[in-house]
Amino acid sequence: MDILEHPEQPTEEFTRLLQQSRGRLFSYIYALVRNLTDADDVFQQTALTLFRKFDAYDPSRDFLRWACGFARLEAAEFLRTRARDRLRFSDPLTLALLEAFAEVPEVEATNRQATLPGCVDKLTAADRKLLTDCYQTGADVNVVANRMGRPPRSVYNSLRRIRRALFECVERTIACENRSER
Amino acid sequence: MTDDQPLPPRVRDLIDDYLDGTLDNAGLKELEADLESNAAIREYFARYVGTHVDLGFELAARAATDRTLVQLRSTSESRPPRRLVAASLAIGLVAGGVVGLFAAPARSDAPAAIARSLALDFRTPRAGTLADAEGRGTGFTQRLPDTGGGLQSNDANLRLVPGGGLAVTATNSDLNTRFRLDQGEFPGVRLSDLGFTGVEDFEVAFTAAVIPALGFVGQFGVYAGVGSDWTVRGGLVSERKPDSFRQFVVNTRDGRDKDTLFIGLGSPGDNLRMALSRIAGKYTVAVENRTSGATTTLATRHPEFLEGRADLVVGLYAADPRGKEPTAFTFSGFTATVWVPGEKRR
Repeated sequence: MDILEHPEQPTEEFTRLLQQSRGRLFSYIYALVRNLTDADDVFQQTALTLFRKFDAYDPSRDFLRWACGFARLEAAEFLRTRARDRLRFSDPLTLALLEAFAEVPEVEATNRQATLPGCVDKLTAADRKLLTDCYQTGADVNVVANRMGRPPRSVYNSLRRIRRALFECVERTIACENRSER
Repeated sequence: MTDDQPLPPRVRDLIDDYLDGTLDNAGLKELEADLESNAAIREYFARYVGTHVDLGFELAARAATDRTLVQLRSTSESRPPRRLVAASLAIGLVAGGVVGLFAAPARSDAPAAIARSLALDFRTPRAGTLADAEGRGTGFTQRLPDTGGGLQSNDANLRLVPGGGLAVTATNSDLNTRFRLDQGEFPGVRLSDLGFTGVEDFEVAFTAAVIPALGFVGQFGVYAGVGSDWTVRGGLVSERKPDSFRQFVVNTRDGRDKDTLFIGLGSPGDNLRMALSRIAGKYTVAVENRTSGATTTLATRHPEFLEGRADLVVGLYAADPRGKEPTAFTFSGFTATVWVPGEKRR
C-alpha cells in the first residue's frame, strides 16, 4: 500500500497548468505504457515530480512539453522495473511522439473529448455492450471472448472496427464544426 | 503519404495491435520505422490514442452514472434509511472517493431477505477444510485465488487455539504490487456456497482479541474478491509509530491498490469486530471497538469490477510486508452472511 505524505500545497498556477494539460499528458503516457491502470500510476508519479520541480519551470516554455519530458522518464522507469516483458518504443521515438502529442492544441483535445459521447450513442447496442465489457472493468479480452463463446481474434477485430468508427466519427464531426465556423 | 491521403491499412493495423498488446517484436519494429519516418503517422497516432483514452473515461463515466441511478432508485423506492449511503456514493463519484462516518445500516427495517450464514468459532476442528499447522481443519474452505500457493497443506501460519480462536501469523506479503503472494494468508469461503449469485447483499466479519504491533504498513482485515488482482479490502494498517493504526478501505485493481481511503484510529481496543459488507450494492468497512463501544465505517469508490460476479471469495487476512518478526493475530470468530431475497431479515 502506498502511503504518500505531501506537506506542501500546489500553487494555483501549477494546478491550472496541470489541469489544462492533463488529458494530453495522460494520452502520451498511455501511448507509452498501454494500460489505463498503469498510465494512472505513471501520471500520478509524474504529477508529483512536476510539483516538486515546479520551481525550476520556465514559464516561457510550453508546460505540456515540459511535463511530457518528465512523463517520458517516469514511463521508462515504470516499464523497466514493473513491466519488463512489455514491448516498448525506442527512446528517440518516444521523444518524437512527445512532440506529436504536444502539438495537439488544447482546444482540439477538449472538442474531441466533448464530441465522443455523441459518437458512442450512434453505435449499435451490441457494439456498446462489447466496449463496456472490454473497457469498463479492464477485463482481459480473452476472458470476454471466452464468456461470449467467440475466438479472441474476432473480439479484437470487433474492437478495432468500433474504435475506428468512433475515431472517424470524431474526426468528421470536428471537421464539420471547423468548416461551419469559417 | 500526405495529410490528404488516408493512412495505409497496414499502419492502422499495427497501431491497433500495439494498443491491444498483440503486436510482436517484428511488428513493433515495423511500426517504429513508420512512426519515425513520417510526421503525419505520428500525428494520427497521437489523435487516435487520445480518442482511445477518452473512450476509456467516457465508458467509465457512463457505468458509474448507471450504477448511481440504480442505487438512488432502489434507495428511494424501498430503502429510505439508506439514503445516506446512496448520497455518499453520489458524492464519491464526483470527488473520486468518500469517507463516510455514519452508523451501520440497521437491519431491522431492511427489505425481505433470508440470511444464510457460515459461522466459525474455531472451537472444533472441521474436517476437509484448510488445515492448521497440526493438520486440524480451520473451517475455511478457500483461499483468495492466487494467494498462498507456496504455503504447506498443514499451514504453519494457522493455529487453532485451545478453547476457541484461530491464531494467524502475518506473512511478508501484500496484494498491492502482488508482493510475495505465494506466502499470502488470505483464508476465506466462497459466497456462492451460501446462495450468492452476484447480486445479493452480504457481509463478512470477524472478531479479534489479540492485536499485535506490526511493521509500517503491516495490516489485517477483511476482503472480498475474485482473485488477488481484483479485490476490495479494508482493515487496520500500522503507522510508523508502534501500536498505532489507521482504518482503511482500498480497491485492488489489476494488482495495484487504488481508491485508498484512510482515517485515523485512536486505539483498536482489545475486543474488536470488523465487517466488510455490501448493502444495496454499496461496499463499506466497519470497525467496532467493543472496548469503547465506538464504530467507524468507511465507504469507498464502488469496485465495479466485482459487479455481478458470482465467484466472490470473502475472508480475513493478516500481512506484514516489512515485518522483521513473525506476529500472530488471534481471531475469536468469523462469519459470512448472504441475504437471499424472499423473506424478512431476522
